[in-house]
Amino acid sequence: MKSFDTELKKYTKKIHLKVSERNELRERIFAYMEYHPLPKQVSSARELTGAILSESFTIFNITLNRRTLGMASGFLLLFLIIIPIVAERSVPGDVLYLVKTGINESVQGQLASSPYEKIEFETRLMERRIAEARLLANEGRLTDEMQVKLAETVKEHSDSVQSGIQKLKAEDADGAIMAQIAYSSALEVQSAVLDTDKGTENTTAINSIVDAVNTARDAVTLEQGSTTPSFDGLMARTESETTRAYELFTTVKTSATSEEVTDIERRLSDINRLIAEAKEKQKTDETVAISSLTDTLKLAQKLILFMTNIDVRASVSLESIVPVVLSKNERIEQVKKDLNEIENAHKIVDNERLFVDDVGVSEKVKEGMKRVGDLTRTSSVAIGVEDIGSAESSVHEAKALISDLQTLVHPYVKNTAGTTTGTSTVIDNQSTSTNDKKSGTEDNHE
Amino acid sequence: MAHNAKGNRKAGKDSDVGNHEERFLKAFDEYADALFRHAVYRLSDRERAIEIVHDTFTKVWTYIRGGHEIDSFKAFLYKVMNNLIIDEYRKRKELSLDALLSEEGVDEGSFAELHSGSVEELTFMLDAKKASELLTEIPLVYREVLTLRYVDGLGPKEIAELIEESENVVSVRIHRGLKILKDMIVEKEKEATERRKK
Repeated sequence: MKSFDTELKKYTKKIHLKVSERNELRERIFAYMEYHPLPKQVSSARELTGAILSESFTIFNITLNRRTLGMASGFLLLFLIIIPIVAERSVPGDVLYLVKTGINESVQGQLASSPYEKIEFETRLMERRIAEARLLANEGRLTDEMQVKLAETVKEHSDSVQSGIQKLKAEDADGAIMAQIAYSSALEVQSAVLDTDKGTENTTAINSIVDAVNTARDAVTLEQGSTTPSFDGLMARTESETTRAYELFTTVKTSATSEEVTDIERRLSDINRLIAEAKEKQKTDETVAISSLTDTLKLAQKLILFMTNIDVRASVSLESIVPVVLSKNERIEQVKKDLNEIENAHKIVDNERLFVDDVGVSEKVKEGMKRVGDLTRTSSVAIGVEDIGSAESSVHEAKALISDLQTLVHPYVKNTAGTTTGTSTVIDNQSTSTNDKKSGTEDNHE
Repeated sequence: MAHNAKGNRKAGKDSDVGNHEERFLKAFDEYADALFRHAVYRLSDRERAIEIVHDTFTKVWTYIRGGHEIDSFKAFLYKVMNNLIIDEYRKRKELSLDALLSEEGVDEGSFAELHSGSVEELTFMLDAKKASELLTEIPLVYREVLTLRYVDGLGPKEIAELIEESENVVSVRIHRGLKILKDMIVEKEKEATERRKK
């Protein structure tokens, strides 16, 4: 009699991957490996630190006396290390600017081996030109001629990126879309950075550069809308960028403030949550999942730009380029909080309406309050069935309306204390009658 | 993906890359089916099992990319997958293994119910075909050890290392799991008999 082990194994072996499932699984894993290749020379890549990642250094074996050798080493050190490092900080008009653009950047460009890396490199160059323009404008050194030249260069790099993307489309459609998404993220961040200069004395100085960036951003947005990446490719890229963001965060943590650390941690947590939601969504609606995952990828890329680019960090807040994405529960809590505030404000307006001696205004306020009531009821019902979108929409409308009503009744309210009452949506209950104080207390026990 | 280059040193590095990829893909060819089978028994969901296998391999690849060496792919793959399955249970808001453990009252290190040959006695009486069908219905904590023992062919010591429990606990769970299977088979046979009578 055969043993239980053998017999059980015989039956359980009937469960196995079908040939098609196995092949598909293998392809997916292979695609993942391609998107996440092994680093060829991990140790040597990690030794290089600082601004220059260059293979232009060449070591010559020359038999010389010590003194000459020392001098030669000194010159080599100067021309091959110190000058390039110093040149990295130069801007148009500086002596070493040609070294930066003609030599450093040219050498760095050689390191970009894949079409995707070349596109990334051109995007980085475009960001550099924008940062240089802003720096010069801040120092009052940006002449019209420099502005025109820099705007032309921004446009050249932008055109290079676009043509690189078009070429990539022919051999790797998914890769081209990924490059487009990365480029779009970079442009949106640069647009936000340039927006901070609006209304300052730098506005006119960098107008043409702002135009160049906005034109490029609008063009890439249009292009992006017409093409869709594959879910697996998008997921692989998103996971790769998220991993990179975590690695950068580990480095940034040591020098960031505790507030910055909390902010970045929150964004990373949002990104992880959105990835998990997209994976779930893919089972029922792949199109929506792809759209959501594209947005998530852009959040990760913008977060990376925030962490790696000093100019961006100095110019914009993290919230302005990578806004917090509330979870489902947070959104529900926010709606409930808003409903509570609206209810409080509603009671206050109801009391204050008694002071309104204009019949027309009083009727208007009455109608408005009825509408607020309807909207809050709609929102509560929507929360009950977890239709958060509708709940938020109704509550936003109710908030705006109650605020308008408060503004309408405010002039009629007799001020007994001799101080003006606020017009914010949440009114300080202590500044009104005792009736309001009681209702305010009741409201808190929801 | 990997390209051979000029120069011994560089070729050495490239062949390392090639070796990693080869070993990894070989591990897929060798263990994908077994891992899938294990996941199906643990999760009772074929589609999720495929995803778990995918996630297992991608996680292991990420680990290799981090510069880590893997001595035994089989052990490592099972370890990673086991963790993913536990995450899956938590996501489904099923009882945690610890909670189940306390519910079932398994006393770590207790051999009171085990005696020499008791597992063999139980398995001797079990119908393997029915056991394979009912394996997906027994409680998770026992399903884990029985799947590792009888579907994957791991010994109690290997299972203990994998799930980070003592061998005592593993042996007790195997015994109890088999008992539960036996009781379920008996119950099903009774129901079948009742239906035939009607």
